[in-house]
Amino acid sequence: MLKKLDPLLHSELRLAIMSILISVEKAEFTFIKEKTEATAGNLSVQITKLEEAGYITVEKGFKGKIPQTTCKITKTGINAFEQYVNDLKEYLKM
Amino acid sequence: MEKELKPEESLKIIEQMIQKTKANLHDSSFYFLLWGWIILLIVIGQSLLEHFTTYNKTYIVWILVIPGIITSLIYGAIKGKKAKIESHLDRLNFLNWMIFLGSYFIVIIFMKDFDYKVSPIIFLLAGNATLLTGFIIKFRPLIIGGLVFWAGVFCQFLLPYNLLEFVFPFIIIFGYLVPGYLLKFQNKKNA
Repeated sequence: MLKKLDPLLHSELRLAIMSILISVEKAEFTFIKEKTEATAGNLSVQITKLEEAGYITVEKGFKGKIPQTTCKITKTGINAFEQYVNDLKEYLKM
Repeated sequence: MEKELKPEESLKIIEQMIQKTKANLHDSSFYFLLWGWIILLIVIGQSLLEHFTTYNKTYIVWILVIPGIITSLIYGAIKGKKAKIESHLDRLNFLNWMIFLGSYFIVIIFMKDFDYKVSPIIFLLAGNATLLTGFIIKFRPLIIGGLVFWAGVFCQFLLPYNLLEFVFPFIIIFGYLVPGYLLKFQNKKNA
């Protein structure tokens, strides 16, 4: 019986966010927004969901006077992503 | 309600995002050019002092390394703050040069025990770090630059001293400056 795919990652925008963050040490909100082509509001909501699940950390700071949000994947997030990819491979084998 | 993703679509998203993030390595040409010019000036300066003056502490020109280190650190900090991402390879490259810096300082501290003959070690360290950067960013001129420094180590043991002062500038030019300018032009072209 096939494992159910992680519902937190099995979403277009959240998966895109996690795919970016697994590829880098950290990334700014504006970079993620640019690459995912998401709206700021929707991106913010999805980032919050991932942060609440412990998959990413979010650091808020300032670049001069401009607020800056930086995201970084956690070990939990990496494990979840790897599990998701492995489960995906099982689905694709079918 | 969110659109139901098919497994194939999930895979495509992952591939696309990784691809979009891949080509975002920071331009490190500044450091190769900065250090290329500093070391070149030092090496030529020391030669000129030895040949045209009676000043016996010609090694004093190596003090120019200090403003070089300060400039590198400040530039790196400013660039780091401005960057929107830090890739894994950026971090690896940063650690590579921090290891070089740490090793360089250890050699300098114990310079007396090496009878002040540390240039082969420094060339080797510089060559290793340049080679690794070349492999990390997949830039052949830097790989060649690293090998040029390695060749410089051989020169120091096989060539007479009076020839070395002519060879050293070429090592710096082809080890740092040429790859540095080529990297700068490539990054400008790709920007």
